[in-house]
Amino acid sequence: MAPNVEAESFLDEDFLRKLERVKILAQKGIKGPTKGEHNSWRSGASLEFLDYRKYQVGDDFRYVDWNVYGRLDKLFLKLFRAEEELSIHILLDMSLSMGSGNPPKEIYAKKITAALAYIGLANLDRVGVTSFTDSLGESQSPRKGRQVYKSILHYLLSIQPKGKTDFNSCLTEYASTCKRPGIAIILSDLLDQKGFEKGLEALQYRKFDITLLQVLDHEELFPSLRGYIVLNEVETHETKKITLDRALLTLYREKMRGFLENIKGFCIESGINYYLSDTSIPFEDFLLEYLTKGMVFH
Amino acid sequence: MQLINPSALLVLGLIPILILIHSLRPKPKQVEVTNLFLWRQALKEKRGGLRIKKLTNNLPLLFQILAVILASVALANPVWTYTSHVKGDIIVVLDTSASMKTRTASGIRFDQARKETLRLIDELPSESRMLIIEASSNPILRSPFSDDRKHLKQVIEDIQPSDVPGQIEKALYLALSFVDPERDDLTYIITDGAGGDFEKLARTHQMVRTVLVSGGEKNIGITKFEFRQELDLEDQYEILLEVKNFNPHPVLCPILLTLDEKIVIKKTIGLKALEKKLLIFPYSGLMAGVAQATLELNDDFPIDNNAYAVLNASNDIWVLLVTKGNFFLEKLLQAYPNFMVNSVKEIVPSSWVEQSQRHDIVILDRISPPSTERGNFLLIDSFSPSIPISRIDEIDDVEILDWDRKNPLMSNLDLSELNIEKATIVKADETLQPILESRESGLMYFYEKKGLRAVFLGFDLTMSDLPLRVAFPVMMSNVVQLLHPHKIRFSSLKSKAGKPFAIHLDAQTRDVSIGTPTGKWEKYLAKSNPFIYQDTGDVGIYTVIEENEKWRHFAINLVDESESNIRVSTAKSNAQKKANLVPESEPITAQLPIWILFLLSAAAALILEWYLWLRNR
Repeated sequence: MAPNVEAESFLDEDFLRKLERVKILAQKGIKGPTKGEHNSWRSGASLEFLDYRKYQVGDDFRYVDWNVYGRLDKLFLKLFRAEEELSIHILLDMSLSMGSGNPPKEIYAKKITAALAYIGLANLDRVGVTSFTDSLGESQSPRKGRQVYKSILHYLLSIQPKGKTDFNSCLTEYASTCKRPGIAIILSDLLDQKGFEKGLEALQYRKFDITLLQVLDHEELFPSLRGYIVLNEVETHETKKITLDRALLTLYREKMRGFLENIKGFCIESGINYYLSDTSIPFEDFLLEYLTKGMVFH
Repeated sequence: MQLINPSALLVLGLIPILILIHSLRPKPKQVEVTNLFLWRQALKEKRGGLRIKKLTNNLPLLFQILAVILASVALANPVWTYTSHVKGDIIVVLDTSASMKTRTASGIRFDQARKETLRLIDELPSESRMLIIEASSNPILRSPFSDDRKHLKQVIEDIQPSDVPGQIEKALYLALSFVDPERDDLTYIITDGAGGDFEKLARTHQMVRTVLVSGGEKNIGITKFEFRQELDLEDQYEILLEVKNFNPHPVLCPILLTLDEKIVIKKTIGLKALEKKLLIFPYSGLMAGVAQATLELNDDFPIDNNAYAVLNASNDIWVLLVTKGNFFLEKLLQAYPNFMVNSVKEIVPSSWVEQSQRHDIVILDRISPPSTERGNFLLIDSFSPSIPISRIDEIDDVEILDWDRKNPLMSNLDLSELNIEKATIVKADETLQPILESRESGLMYFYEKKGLRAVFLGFDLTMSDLPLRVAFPVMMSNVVQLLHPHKIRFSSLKSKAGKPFAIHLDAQTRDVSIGTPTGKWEKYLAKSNPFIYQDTGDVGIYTVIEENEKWRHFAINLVDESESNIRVSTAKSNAQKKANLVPESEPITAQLPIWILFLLSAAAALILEWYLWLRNR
């Protein structure tokens, strides 16, 4: 989609109505500073009973279970599940490599971002979007309220792919600067020779509930090129002349499969939700079917 | 392996062009990718088998080069050269001419030739066939191509030599017509080399082998035997005898000449080496009967030691003249000394057939006869139902337009100023051509069918000035000569062996029996007169017996100098050696075209190249 596309037409209304029915789940307990819509394992002020505990000095008498006191003559405090506010941090890779593909991966990723933001905002969560390349870009800090969606959309439309990727440093930096960790949804092609592990580990260290969406073009997964060609790396502008034959293609596909298996293995080990998105799959299907099944939504 | 057309190897010049084309690379296509590290890893791994990969990458080029090489070799028409006794089929030309009867130490030459042929049959490879041609006076196909050795041997056993001069050249032409050059068929001529000159033809054909049989080279032979009557003296004759010594040394040759077994001449002549002597003996008296010239010696080729002739002094010719009166014709017929003329004024139909067949010639002057199937007729302004000439009209003052000067009836005639007061306009069958014609109609025709021969004259002699002209006796003589030639004058009934002999039969003869010198008798249906007798393969006296029990003879002689020359020349012997005459001693070099194998291999290389290209796409 061209950058100047109207924000209103970025995601159509029917699709947005469908998104209102889903909610982003946090797999870990979310510790938010304010009350929100997400259950927490912390005791709180919701109506859902959680447990009893002995009264301690300073506890609010309103939560003392007087029925228990009448029978046992001891003060027990009735605990309720806390309902906490969720911060959703969407980290969007906008390096030059994301600008390639058909459709361009950045458009695909922006649409997913917009949809996730809409879901979060519709569920009264705080949603923030930050783009990154070899450094963190302009950021939309997590805010809540439906009106935020428009600003996120405008933000998304304003940013364009540029520069190289430095996945690890960007995520490390974000982890260190983020004040309210929450759910981190990272959209990237992960095509960074320097790796991805350190960045994710930094986020994990800050207790982020991480979901990694790897966006790749179908041609990247299954190239169909043949013959004598010059490969031009879009970010570094390095070139490589090759004669692409069946054997080399097979080798490349093996390498790509290994690369993806490596990412998936790391994510499983680290408790990170990992999804591979082929841009040939319509993003709506990817969003509603794959992510729903993958317990990202419910 | 040999290349028949090595210039086709110039096609190999395509190889550098192929390599050049292969080394040219198209301008690379610029493709943007989002990573190189994965490509680099893939390339790094690929380099592990780089040498093999380079080879496999160049396999299409190698196959293209291979295809060009194979195609160029195929175009160069390669042949696989190998030695073999026989490659294709064998055609045997077996000489059965008179010289093959030459006596040798172990029999006759033909025995040797038969032995050689049987040996060839024994050595005939299983994949080859043999065709047998007998070279007599005319070539005879005795067996078509066959690989049945038993049959072939039986054919050879059945062939016998004759007394005829050979025509090897004709037989060789026939044999060559069966040769399949693709299969390298071999033609074997098994001969003694006497007779026709076939060596030149044999030399021009590489696949012709001559197997010469020899032995028994001593010969003196009669090469000519003729009789002649003196022009002005009826009882004076000359006997011509030509004798040749074919030996390389002088000989004495006793000659005996008999007439009806009575000795006419007996003398001995001396002949130098290879000398030919022509002897002429005068003879006075009646010359009739069987004459025989004999060389009284014992050489290796006895056939030419005898020569025969059957001599006829002029016989009486019986003529039936049917006319109401023709002074000029009657006077003319009386003038011929041996003409016996019976003259009648009218025809009796009941006895007509018998009457006409008893006479040698029937002359009908203005009286039309009934139907007659056989006989010799001169029809003067008369019409026979058996002859397709009919009267249409009459014309006066006929002007001669032309005549056929080549026709024997018109021989020595000038009819340009002939005056004919009245003639008949006739309608003749389309097959008949007028010999003498006016503007309006044909005036003279000759008709012949089976035993019926007739000369038709379309005008009354008395209504023309022809009887007053010199042309009249000349024309009548021509007519008699044509209708019954063998009785006109002295004749010597003889021919050469192998040549057809014309036997003039009596008009009523339908069947004729002929006895050969070997004593064999055959009965023939006389479909024509003269009857053409073909089986003159034996030298000697033949006897002819007609239905009326009349018998007579005719003679068949060899009298062929080249056939009598039975000595196998040194040149021919050398030619035989040079041409690998003995098959088992020096096998032939055979060539098998193998261009198709190279072409198929080139196609296979191209298919492989295409497959590799498809696989690497």
